[in-house]
Amino acid sequence: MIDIYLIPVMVTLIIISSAVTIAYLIKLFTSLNHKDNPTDENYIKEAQKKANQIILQAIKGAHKIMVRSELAGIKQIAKEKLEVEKIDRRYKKELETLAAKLFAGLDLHLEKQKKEYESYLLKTGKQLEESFSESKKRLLEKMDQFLEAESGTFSSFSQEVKNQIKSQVEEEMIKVNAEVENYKKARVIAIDKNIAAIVTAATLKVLGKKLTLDEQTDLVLKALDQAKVEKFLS
Amino acid sequence: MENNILDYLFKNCFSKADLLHHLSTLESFFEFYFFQNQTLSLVTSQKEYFLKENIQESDKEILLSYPVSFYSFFSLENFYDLLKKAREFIEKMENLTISLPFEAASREKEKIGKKVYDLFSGRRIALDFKHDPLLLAGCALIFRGIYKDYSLKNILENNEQEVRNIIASYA
Repeated sequence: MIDIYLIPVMVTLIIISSAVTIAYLIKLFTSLNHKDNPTDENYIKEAQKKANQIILQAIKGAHKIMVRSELAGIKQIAKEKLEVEKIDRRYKKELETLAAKLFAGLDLHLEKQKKEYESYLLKTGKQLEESFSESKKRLLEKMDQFLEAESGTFSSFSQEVKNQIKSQVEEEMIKVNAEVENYKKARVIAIDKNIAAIVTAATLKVLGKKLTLDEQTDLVLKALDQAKVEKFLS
Repeated sequence: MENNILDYLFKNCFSKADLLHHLSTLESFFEFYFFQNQTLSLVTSQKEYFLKENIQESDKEILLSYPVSFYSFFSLENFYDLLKKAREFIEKMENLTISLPFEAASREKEKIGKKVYDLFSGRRIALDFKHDPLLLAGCALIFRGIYKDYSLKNILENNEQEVRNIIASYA
C-alpha cells in the first residue's frame, strides 16, 4: 500500500519532470528552427532563458508543493499522534472507569456470591445434618429390627454352642477322671509294691534320729537273746 | 595264764584279724624288749621302741592299750610259746558276724562281746562287726554259714501285710 504522504511528492516529481520535458522540447524546437538565423538566435536565447525560468519556477513550485506536502504530512502525523494520544488517554480513562466499574461489580458479585454460598452451605449443612440424623435414626431402627429378628437365631446358636462346649468339657472331664484314676491306681500299685521299702526308708529316717547308741545296743543285745532262744547261737 | 591273756586280748579286740594283728604287734615288741632292752623298764622300753623302730600310730595304740599287768605274764622264756598258743586258739575259734545298723564304738563292741561270751557260756567266739544302716534296728547274724536277720527291717518285711493293712486303714 502506498503511503498517503508520498502522493504529493510523486505529484511534484511528475510536475517537475513535465516542466523539464516541456522546457527541453521548447529549447530543442527553437534550436532546430532558428539555427542559421542570427535574429532567431536571440529569440532562442530568450526562449531558453524562459524555458530555464519555467524550469526554475517549476522546481520552485515543486519544492513549495513538496514542503507544503511535508508540512501537511507532519501536521497530519502530529495531528494523528495527538489524536492517538488523546484516544489512548481516553481509552485508558475509559478502561480504568470500566475496570473500576467491573471491579466494583465484581466485588459486589463476589460478596453476593459469598453470601449466597454461605447461605447455601448453611442450608446444605442443615439439610445434611437432618439427613444424617434421619439416616442414623433409620439405621438404628433397621439395626433394632435386625437384632430383634436375629436374636432368636443367635439365642439358639448360642445355646447350641453352649451345649457343644458342655458336652466337650464333660468328655474331657471323663477322660481326665479316668487318667487320674489310672494314675492313682498306678501310684497305689507302685506304693503297694514298694511298701516295705517305703516303710523301711521312713523308719530309717525316724529311728536314725530318735534312737540313741545305748538304745540301739540294747536292741542288738535283745536280738542276740532271741537268737539264743531260737538256738541259732549255741 | 593263757585264759588270762585271752581275756585281755578280747577286751580290746573281737575279730580274728584284729586279734592276730595284736598278737603280731605284741610279738615284735617283745622281741625288741627281751632281746635288746630288757634292762629298761617296760614304759621306757616302749618309748624307745616307738622311736627306734618307727612304729605306726595304730600299733602304738595297741601296745599302750594293754596294762602293765598284762605284760607281766610274758618273759623271754615264754612269750613265744604263749603267743603261739594264743594264735592257735584264735585260729580255731568260731566266727560270728554281726551286722549292725549303727557304727559301733569300742564301748558298744565290748558290751556285745560280753553278751556273746555269756550266751556261749564262756566260750570264746570271734566277732566280726559290719555296718548296715538299712537294718534300722536290731542286728543280722551269720554263724556257721547261716544268715539270720533279727533287724527291724526284717520284721517289717515279714509283716508287710499287716503294715499294708495299717496303711489301708488310713487311706
